[in-house]
Amino acid sequence: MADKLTRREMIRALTTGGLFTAGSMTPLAALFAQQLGPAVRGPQPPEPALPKAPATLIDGKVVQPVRELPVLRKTRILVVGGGPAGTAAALAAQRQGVEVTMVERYGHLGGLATGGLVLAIFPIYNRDGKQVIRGIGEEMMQRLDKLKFGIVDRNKPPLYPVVDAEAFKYVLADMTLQSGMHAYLNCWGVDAIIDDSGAVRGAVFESKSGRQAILADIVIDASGDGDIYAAAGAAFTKVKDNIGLVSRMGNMDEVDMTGGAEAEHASTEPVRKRPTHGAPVTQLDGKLGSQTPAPRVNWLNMKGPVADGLDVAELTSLELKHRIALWQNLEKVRQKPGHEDAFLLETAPQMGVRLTRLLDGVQILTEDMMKNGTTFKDVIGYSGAFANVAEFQIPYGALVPKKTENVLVAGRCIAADFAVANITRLIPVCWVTGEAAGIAATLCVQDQCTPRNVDIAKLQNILRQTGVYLG
Amino acid sequence: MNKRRWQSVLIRLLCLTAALVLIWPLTPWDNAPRAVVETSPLVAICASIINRAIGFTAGIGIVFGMLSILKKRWFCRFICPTGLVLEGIVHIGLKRTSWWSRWPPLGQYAAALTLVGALIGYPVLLWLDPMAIFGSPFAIPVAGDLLSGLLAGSVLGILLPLTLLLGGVWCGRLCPLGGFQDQLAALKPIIAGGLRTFRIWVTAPPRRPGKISRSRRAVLASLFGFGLGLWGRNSGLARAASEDAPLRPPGALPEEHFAGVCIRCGNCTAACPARIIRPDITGKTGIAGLLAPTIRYDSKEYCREDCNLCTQVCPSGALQALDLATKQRYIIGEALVDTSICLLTLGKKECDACVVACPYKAIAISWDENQYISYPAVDPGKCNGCGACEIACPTNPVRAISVWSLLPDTSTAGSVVAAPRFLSG
Repeated sequence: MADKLTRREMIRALTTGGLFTAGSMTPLAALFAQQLGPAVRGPQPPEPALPKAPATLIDGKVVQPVRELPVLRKTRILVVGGGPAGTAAALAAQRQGVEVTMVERYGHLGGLATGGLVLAIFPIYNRDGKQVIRGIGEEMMQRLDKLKFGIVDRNKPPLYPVVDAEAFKYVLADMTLQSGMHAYLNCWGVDAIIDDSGAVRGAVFESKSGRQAILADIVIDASGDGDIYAAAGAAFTKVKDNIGLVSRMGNMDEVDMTGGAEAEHASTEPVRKRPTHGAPVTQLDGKLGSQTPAPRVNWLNMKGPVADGLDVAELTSLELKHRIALWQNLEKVRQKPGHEDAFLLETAPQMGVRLTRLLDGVQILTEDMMKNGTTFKDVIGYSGAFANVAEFQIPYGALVPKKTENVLVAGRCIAADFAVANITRLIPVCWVTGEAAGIAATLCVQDQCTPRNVDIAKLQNILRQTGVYLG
Repeated sequence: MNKRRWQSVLIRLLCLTAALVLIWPLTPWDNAPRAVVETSPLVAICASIINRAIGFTAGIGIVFGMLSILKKRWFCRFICPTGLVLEGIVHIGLKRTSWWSRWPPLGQYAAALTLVGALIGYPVLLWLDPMAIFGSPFAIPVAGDLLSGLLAGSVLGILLPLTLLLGGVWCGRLCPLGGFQDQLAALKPIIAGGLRTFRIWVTAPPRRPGKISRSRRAVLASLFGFGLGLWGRNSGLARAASEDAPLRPPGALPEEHFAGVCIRCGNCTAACPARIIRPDITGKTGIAGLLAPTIRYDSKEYCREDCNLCTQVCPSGALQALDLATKQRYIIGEALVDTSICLLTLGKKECDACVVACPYKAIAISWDENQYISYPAVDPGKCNGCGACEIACPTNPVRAISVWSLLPDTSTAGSVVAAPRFLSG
């Protein structure tokens, strides 16, 4: 009995942090397991008491006393956030041989691409159907290609690939472990660490281990909300956007998307009739949503109302209401003949927060630049074509804060105006900015310079070598 | 051939060349095609009656009409390009048939009918004006498909074989502009001789016994024109009241007048750079609406925000001349959303193609708290029905967002020239 429990304990140790057991077959995972050490079930020996300094109520005000924080790690490059931008940044940097630490708020990697169920990898093609987003994102998709039900509609423009969230979590866990980087999950970046000059030197995290610091030469803010650059005092624009909750429903009809985005059949009866004014009319049936790699499982997008993604009360109220509405819609679907057995496979673990903060960067990417196809000397990648907007370049300057030093920004919170951010926030574009930020950070470390002084030619050279499309 | 005839042919060839150059259009003036058609005195006068105003080019046409009083049918002999083309065909055709010369002057009745129709906003046969006929083939290459193109040029297409077989029947008996000039020329003795001659003109004895008099025929033609005008207007009113009335180009008069005022000259179809203005051959608009221009958003083009060309080339006033800013405010129709097939509403795709495409930022994603769905909401205060959203919508074959005719506003329908509807501000 005791023997059996110990083995289970070992497996738990191996999978600590949500890392997939399959990864434990690699030597690096073994390294992680060694670090954990053998665990004993039951009461543990007393730990050395740390000086406690809880918040204190003084004259009705809650005061946080000054206290020294334990330093969890000292690292070269710290990536805050393990979503599409963060994973791309961390993997790209680690491959350049620079030590990377990645910290993720949730128990899985992939951010909104997995936890947010934003399963469509869009936009990756230019107007002519050529794939202009490649590099590390393409590598992730190639790994998904090898998995059954991992990804569908690859290389079929104008159709966009759709991934399976669990397959993608597996791929990212595997890639992270194999890369040799240090990763911490369930660890929420809450503050920046700055020095006398105001330059960022690391970040502070909350986790089950309490409040801890990680010191780094360069910090990449891939938090999505720009939590770290905002804490460090960098200028930004706060925006509000729709916040929904995506879900996956099972036992639904197969949705035929084979005709391409231009020929999606959303209508059962192709009769042109004059729509009415007033309240929208919709039909909830088995044709809801669109296909996923898993058979008879549809993913159902929800745009949701406009809300403040930085307001915990709004977020809570929305998430509760969203879940109730999704269940009620499911029951409406079940009332339709043939769909009595429809089920809600999952609601996204992460709400679909689209945009919150937009950096005030060295170069703010504007709607005019996007529409005019402005080219940049410091181009680090492209966004694919989106609706009537052709593919456009993303400059390195959009990843660098105007004043704050030692921090690079990747993902949806880069320097773009609201119209551009509507595209740069999308999964594959986050790969692009992430990968560029990762490589740029390694150049900062190797050349001992700040992000704004990075050798652009060198950066572009490495990006090209790693398969990034720069035109 | 004498010297005088040579001069005449030279002038007519010059006029034909000028008309070709202006309609093509090879000149930088946007409204050149309009000027060509408006040199016709009949078009100029009808357009002035309908518009309640005389433009510069219409003024030229009216002056030409006055000259016709002095010199009978001088316009036919020196200017009319259709006439020249047909005369050329008469020379190669079967000239001997002239039995039609005993026909009554049908062109005169057509002119009377049309002028009376114009008074009630429906110039019934103005589309038979030779200047309009001359311009119509220029719309053939841009009419959308072969059938529309052939129909757009059909009047000239009928005239050519007709002339081959019957010789100069068109110019001699049928042409309303020729008839109008005859009527004008008949005014000369009235002006010269005063009231006495007028009395003779009105009560002129019939040319052949047992037939109704010329004046009674003219009165009958006028009454007929009035009746036809009313019928055309009523069919237009019925059309305007339908839920799926045709979309007309910017600047178009209200539907109850449009199809009647339009002379099917093809200028707007030929002018449109997006090629979305097509002559209507569907028959949905009835005989009265046949070949009148409609807007179709079935290609990848919409009514461009930087263009007002179609409004500049209309000689009849069916499309009012609008400057660019005013044209942007002219309501072609209203974009309506069918949320039951919208990809966004059905959660199929994070689609905002229509929102992104709208040049006037008239569409926004709205949230319906009751049904818990998102849908594109169109601001009717900003939407002029340009169709950019419709062509951007990815659903197929029926678009989830499409432009529909405005339903009639009961406060304006019924008047002779009701104001077209514009966005405010």
